[in-house]
Amino acid sequence: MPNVASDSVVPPAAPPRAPYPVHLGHRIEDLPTRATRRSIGPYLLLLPVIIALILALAYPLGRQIIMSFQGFGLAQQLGTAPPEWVGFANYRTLLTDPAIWTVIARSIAFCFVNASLTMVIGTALATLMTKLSTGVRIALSTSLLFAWAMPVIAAMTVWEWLFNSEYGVINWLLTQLGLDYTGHSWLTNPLSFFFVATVIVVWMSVPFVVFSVYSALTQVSEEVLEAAALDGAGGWQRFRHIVLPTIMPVLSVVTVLQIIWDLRVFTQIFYLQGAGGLASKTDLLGTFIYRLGISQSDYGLASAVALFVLILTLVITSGYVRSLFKEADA
Amino acid sequence: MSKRLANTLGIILALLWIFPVYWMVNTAFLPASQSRSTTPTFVPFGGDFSAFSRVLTPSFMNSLFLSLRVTLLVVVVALIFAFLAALAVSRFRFAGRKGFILTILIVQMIPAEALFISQYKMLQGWGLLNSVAGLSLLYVAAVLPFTVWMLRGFVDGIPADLEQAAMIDGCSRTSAFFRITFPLLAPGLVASGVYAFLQAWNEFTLATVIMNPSTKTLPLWLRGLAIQSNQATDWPGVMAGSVLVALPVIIFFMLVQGRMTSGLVSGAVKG
Amino acid sequence: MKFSRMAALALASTLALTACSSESTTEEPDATGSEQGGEITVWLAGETDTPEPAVTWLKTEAKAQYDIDVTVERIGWGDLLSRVTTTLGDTSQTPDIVELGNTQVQAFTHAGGFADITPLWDELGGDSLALQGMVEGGSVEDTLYAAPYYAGSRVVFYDAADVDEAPETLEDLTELAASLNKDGHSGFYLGGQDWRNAISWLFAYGGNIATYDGDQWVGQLSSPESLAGLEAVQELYQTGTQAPKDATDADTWVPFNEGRASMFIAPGWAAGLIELDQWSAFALPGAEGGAAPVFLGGSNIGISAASDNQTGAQQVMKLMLSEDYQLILAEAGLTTIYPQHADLAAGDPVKEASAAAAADGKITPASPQWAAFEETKTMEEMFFEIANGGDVAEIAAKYDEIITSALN
Repeated sequence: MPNVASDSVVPPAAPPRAPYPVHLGHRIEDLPTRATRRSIGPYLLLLPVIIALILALAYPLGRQIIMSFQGFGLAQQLGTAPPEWVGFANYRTLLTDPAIWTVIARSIAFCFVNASLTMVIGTALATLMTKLSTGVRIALSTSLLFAWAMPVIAAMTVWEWLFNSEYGVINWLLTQLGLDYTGHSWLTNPLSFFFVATVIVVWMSVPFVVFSVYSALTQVSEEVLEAAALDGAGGWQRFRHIVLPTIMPVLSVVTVLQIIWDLRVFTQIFYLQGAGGLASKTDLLGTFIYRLGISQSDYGLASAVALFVLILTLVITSGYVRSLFKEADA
Repeated sequence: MSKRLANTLGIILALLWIFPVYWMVNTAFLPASQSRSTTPTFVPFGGDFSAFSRVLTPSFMNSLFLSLRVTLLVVVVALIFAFLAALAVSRFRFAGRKGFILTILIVQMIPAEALFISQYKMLQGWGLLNSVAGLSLLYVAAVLPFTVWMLRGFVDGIPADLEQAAMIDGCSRTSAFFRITFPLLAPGLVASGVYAFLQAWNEFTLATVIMNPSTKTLPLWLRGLAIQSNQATDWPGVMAGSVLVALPVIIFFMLVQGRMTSGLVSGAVKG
Repeated sequence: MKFSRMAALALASTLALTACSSESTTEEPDATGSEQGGEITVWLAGETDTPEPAVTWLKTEAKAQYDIDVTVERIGWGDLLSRVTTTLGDTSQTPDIVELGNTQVQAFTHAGGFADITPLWDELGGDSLALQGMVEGGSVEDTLYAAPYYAGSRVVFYDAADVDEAPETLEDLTELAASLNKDGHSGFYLGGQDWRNAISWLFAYGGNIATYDGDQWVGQLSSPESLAGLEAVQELYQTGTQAPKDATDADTWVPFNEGRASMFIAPGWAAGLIELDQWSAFALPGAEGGAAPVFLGGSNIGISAASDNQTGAQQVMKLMLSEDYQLILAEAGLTTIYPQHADLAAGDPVKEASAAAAADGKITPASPQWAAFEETKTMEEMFFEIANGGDVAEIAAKYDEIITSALN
C-alpha cells in the first residue's frame, strides 16, 4: 500500500482500468487516516482563498459596518466634511420608513416565486437534457448559452420591446390571434408588472441553473440507475433516491444563490420601472435600497440597509445554513 | 417519457430561450427606422452590416483586449484558488473547517451595493487604481465564494474510494487525484469557469470607478453606445455591439464545453 | 452661513489632500506651483454630446494662450455619477473640470465638490448671459459653483399636411390636437408618463414644482397657477392624444414617422430623425401667447475643489465659456450662454423654435435632493394619474406632500 501521508515518494503508476466497484455516498468518514491526521496541509490549500477575500473585502466591509453608524453622504465622500457618529439613526430611518415592510414582504414573495420557478424549471431542463438526442441537446444547450451570454443591457432592451404597449411583438402576436391587445399596457398594473419581471428573471437565471445541475448530473452513475431500474424502482423513485442525493450539494448551493439574487433583484425591476412600471407600487428591496441610499449618496444609510439585507438573507436561508452545519459536523 | 416527446419539448424550449437573442441579432441588421415599429420585422430582409461597421471601432478593440485580459486572469486565478479550497474542505477534516464554510456562505450573501466607494479608496491607497491587477483582485473575490461552493459539491460527489482504489493500485495521492478525481471534476470546473467568466465579463459598476475613463471594459463601451442624452440611441448599433460582446463568451464556452459532456466522466465511474 | 463654513472645510481638506498627495505621488513632477501651464483634464458627459471641433479648438487655444495641455475624456451618461462621486474629492485622480447634467449638479455643489467661480462668471457677463435658469441650479445661495455649459430645449414638430400654422396659445393647441385626434391617430402625441414634456404646461400657466421659502422646499403643485396648467394638460391627454399611458419621452418621433400623429414634442435634435417630406416646427405656445417656458435639458461645468491646478482650470473654463467655443456648440444646434447666438437660428424653423423656447426655459427645483427624487419616478406616476383622468386637485395635493418631504 502506498504511503498515504506522503505525496511524493511513489512513482506514477498507470491509472486503474477498473476501479473497485463503488457505490455513491462514500464520504470523508470512510477515510479515518486523513480525518484524524493533524497537518497544515488543508490550511495551505485554503490560504489563497482566504488571502484573496481578506485583501479585497476586509477593509471595505469593515468600513461598511462603521459607515452604517455614521452620517456619511456626498460631502464626507468628497472629503469636505468629516463623518459624524449617529448611533443607530440609519437603522431607525430604515425600519421606520412606512414603505419598508411592504417592500420586504413583496420582495420575499417575489424571491420565493422566482427562485422556486427557476430551480424547478432549471432542474427539469437539466434532467430533460440527459434524455435528448445529441442534436436536440446541442440546440437546447446552445440556446441557453446564448441567452446567458446576452449582455444585460441588450436583454433588457429586447424584453422591454417585446412587451412594449405600442411596438411590442407580444401585443402584435396576441392581436393577430384575434385578441384585442392593441396598446395593452403590461407594466402599469403591478400584478402584470411582476408577471413580466418574473418571465425575464426566470429566463435570465435558468441557463445558469441548467448548466450547473447538468454538470452535476454527469456524476450520477448510470450503473446504479440501471441496477435500481432492474430492482423495479420507478422514474421518480430513481430521481428521488439516487439522482437527488448526488446532485444535492450543487443543487443547494445554486438554490441559495438564486435566493440571494432574487431577494435583491435590481436591474430588471429598475429597467421595467423606467419603461412604464409605477415605482411606488413595484419597488423591491434592490430598487428600494438604491433609492433610499445610493441615489441620494447617503452611504451611511446604504450601508445600514446592506447589513440589514444580509441579516434578512441569513434568516430566510437559516434552515439551509443549519442543515449545512450538521452536515459539516459529520 | 418517450424520446420523441422529450425531443419536441426540448426544441420548443430551445426556441423560447433563443427568441430574445434572435431579436437582438435581427435588430442589429435592420435600419434604425425598422427597429421600432408597430409592425414588427421578423426577418431582416434588406438589412445590412452597417450597424456592425458603425460600432467596430478601435475603441471596441481596445475594450475587447482589456476585457479579455481581466476575465481570463479572473477565471484562471479563481478556479485554481477555489479548487484548492474545495479540496481542503472536502477531503480533510481540520479545526476551523466549519467556520470557513460558513464564512464563505456569508460572504456570498453580502450586498455589494455600497462597497464600491470603499473598494475604490482601498485600491487608491495601494496604487492599484486603473490597473488590471486591482480590478481582477476585486472580481476574483466576488466569484470565489460561489466557485468554492460549486467545486466542493463536485469533490463531495466523487467517491473518495475511487482515489483510494487508485492508491491501492499504486498511485501516489497526488497522481491518484490528478488521474481519477480531476477528470471527474471537469464538468464542475467548466460550470464554475463559465460562471466566473460571465461575472467578470459583464460587471460594470466596479469597472467604472476603478478604471479611468479612457480604459473602458466592454460593458462600459456598450453602455456608452446605449445611454444617450442629447441624441437618439442607435438601437441597431447597440444590438450589433451586444452581439460582438456576446461572441467571445460563446467562443469560450465552445472551447470548454466538450469537457462537460466528456465520455471520461461516465467512463471512470462505470469502469 | 452654513455654506461658507462648508466651503472653508472644503478648502482646508483640499490643502490637506494636496499635502498628502505631493508626498505620495511622485509621478507628477510639477503638479502644483507653476502659475502658467501644466495639464488640465476635462470630463465631458456623453460620448458625442460636445462636438469634436469644440474639443479640438479648446486644445489648440489652451496650448497657444496658456501653454496648457488639455486632456478631454468623455464619460458615458450612465457612468458619470458613480465616477464623479468616487474621484471628485481625490486630488490624485480628480479631473480639473467636470460637466454634469443640470439635475445632477446640485448634489455636488451643495456637498462642496466645486470651486467658487462667481468672479469668472461675472467677468464673462454675469446677468447679461442667457440660461439664467441654470445659474440657479449651479449656485448655492449667491455663490456660483457650476456654470451653465449649454442647453437644449424641446420644440413641437408638426406634419404640414395636417397643421397649417402654429397655434397661438396652449388652449388653441389643445383644440387643434382634438380636431386631428381620431382612433389610432394622435392629434398631439404625449405619453402618459412623459413628465419632462407635460411639465411645460404647468410652467406655461405660471406654476412651479416646488419653491424655496427661505428655509425649506415646499411643493407648489396645488397653487392656482399650477392647477390651471395641470388641468390644461389633462384636457390634452383626454381629447388630443392616443399615446399609451405608459409611454415616456423615448422615441416620440416613431408614431409621427408612421403617420400616427400630427404633432409631437421633442428636443431639437429629433429633427434629424423625421422621415416626412412636409413638416416644420414651432415653440410650444404659452398660455397667453408667445413661447411657453419649457423644461431645459442641459449641462453645467464646474472646477473640482480638489484640483491642484486651480489657475489652469480657471483658464480652461474661461475658454469653454468663451464666445468662440460656445459658437461651435451653437452651430451644432445647442442653446448657449450667449443670447446673440440665438440669431444664428434665423431661417431654420427648428433652431428658431428652439431658441424661442429656451429663452425662458425652466429647470427643476435647485434642491440637492432633486436628482434622487427624480430617480423615484414619482413625476412619471403623477402624470400617469393625470393622464388617466384623476381629480387634478386631489392628485396635486397628494404629490405636494411627497415632494415637500422628498426635497428637504
